[in-house]
Amino acid sequence: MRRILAIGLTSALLALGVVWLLFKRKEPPMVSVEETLLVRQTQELGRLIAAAEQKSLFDFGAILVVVDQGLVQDLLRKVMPLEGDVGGGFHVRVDSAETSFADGLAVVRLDGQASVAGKTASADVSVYGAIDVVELDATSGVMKCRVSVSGVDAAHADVLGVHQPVRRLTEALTEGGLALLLGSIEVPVRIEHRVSIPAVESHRLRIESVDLPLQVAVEDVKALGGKLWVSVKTAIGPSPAPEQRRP
Amino acid sequence: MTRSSRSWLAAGLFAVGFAGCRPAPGPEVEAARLASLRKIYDDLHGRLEKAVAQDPLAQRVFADRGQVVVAIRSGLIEELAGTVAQRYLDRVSLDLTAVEASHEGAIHKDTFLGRMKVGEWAVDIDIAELRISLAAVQPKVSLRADDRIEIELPVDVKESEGRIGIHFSWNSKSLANLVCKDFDLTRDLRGRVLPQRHVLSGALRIGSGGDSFTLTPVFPDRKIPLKVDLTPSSWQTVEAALRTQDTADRCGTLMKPENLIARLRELAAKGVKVGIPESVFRVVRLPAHLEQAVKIGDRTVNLTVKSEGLTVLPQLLWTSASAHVRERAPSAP
Repeated sequence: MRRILAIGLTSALLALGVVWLLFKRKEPPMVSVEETLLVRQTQELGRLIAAAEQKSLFDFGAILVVVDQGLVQDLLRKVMPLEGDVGGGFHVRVDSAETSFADGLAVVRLDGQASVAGKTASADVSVYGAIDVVELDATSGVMKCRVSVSGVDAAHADVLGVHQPVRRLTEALTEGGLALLLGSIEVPVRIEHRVSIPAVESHRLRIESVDLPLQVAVEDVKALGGKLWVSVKTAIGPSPAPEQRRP
Repeated sequence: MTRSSRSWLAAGLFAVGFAGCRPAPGPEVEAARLASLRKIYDDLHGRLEKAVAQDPLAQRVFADRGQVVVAIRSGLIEELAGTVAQRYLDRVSLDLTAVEASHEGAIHKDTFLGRMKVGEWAVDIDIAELRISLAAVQPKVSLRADDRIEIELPVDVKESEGRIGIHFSWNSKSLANLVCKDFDLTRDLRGRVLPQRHVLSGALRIGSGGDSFTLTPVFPDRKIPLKVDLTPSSWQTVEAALRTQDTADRCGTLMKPENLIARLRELAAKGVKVGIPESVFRVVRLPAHLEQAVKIGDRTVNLTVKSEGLTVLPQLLWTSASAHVRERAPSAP
């Protein structure tokens, strides 16, 4: 009987241990924003230095677009305040923005307040994001940047009155909340997907229009020296079949 | 408790202790880790700064006061210019109706009074109905430092046939004027343009039209000597007409129709000067543009983006733009 009890107790403890292990895996200790950014910057710096050693740091495709961090900051500040529900029951209002494009990372910092639905208290928060995707709009060709969440700093988040508020707010912003709040950031450069010349149709002269398709795509993005360096590869696409050409 | 059960119990307690009782890294450990990271970061940052300081392109960007810089490889501009020119001028149809040309000459004869001009002839060609087709061939292009792309564009003219009016006149001179009558001949003939190739030489001037970059064709000499000929039956018609004047009182003998026919053939082979209309040469907009409004999410912000000029560098077209953020545009209702 005692043997059965001992085995039962052991098994229960084991099961408890396994459950706790799994629980711990789901919620690793929060890494500070500073550490997250430092880790990423050292990784990016390593990549940039490797490129510099191969003399390809500033190799670019057919077109290079360089955008100053000050311009992106001015654009962001012009749309302040940003306010909205970001998921997870959180409501965020952003009042100011700062940008820092250096050492391989284009950091966007958004400062404001977060609150929880149904509660009056709010906490000052700083959302750190990085421009991770730069692309050309498939239709207009306008260059646009998407920001992903790197971390959230909140000095007195406990006033929000929810369990693990920073972790939950970070998750909410990462899982679409920041996209809802901010969306993509366009920069004032457009690379068109075609070169066109209209037709000439007069009594004396007839020339068909030309619609030369271009294959354009962002191939590399670097952030350094306060600027975002975007390399765009461009190739002339195949000529459309005669029946597909515009009249 | 048996040995076996004790072992199980010990293992279970160890597992729980390992999983739950592992101490979380303290502030000292975290600070040490951060310090180590910062040291690595500082070292890498210094190495990158050195590399950037040695790069001429980076230094040029940093020296530029524009908030937006756009640099385009000369290879792309040359490829675009060449391809657009070739494709655009690949199927051009040009009506030559009303194109005119004229030639004149004189005939001299040795007489007992010495060598005398016995008459002057003139031929006026008037194209009554003739359309030609042009097809461009791959051009030679090269970007020059003076904001121009030199271009040599070979153009093939395809063979075509149409109506050509010829007016021939004879004006007797000196003593021949006393005995010979002047005459005029006008004939409506079938003519043809021979297959031929011409090279149009000019340049594309690179410019900045505010928001966009343009290539403006500059072709000062747009005339080509178009080689034309008459159909064999039309030549026979001309010769027959001239022979009708080959009588004593009309001085056809002095004129010698066969010589004139040979002369006219020479002139046709030299070609009729035809001007390519200016409207053939169109301004081409390069695919990179500056925008005066952007969207941040669903909000529109107006800017004043102004190109500060273009510079042609070795292998590169360079432009920088100042950008001033003006105001947030009102939201759509």
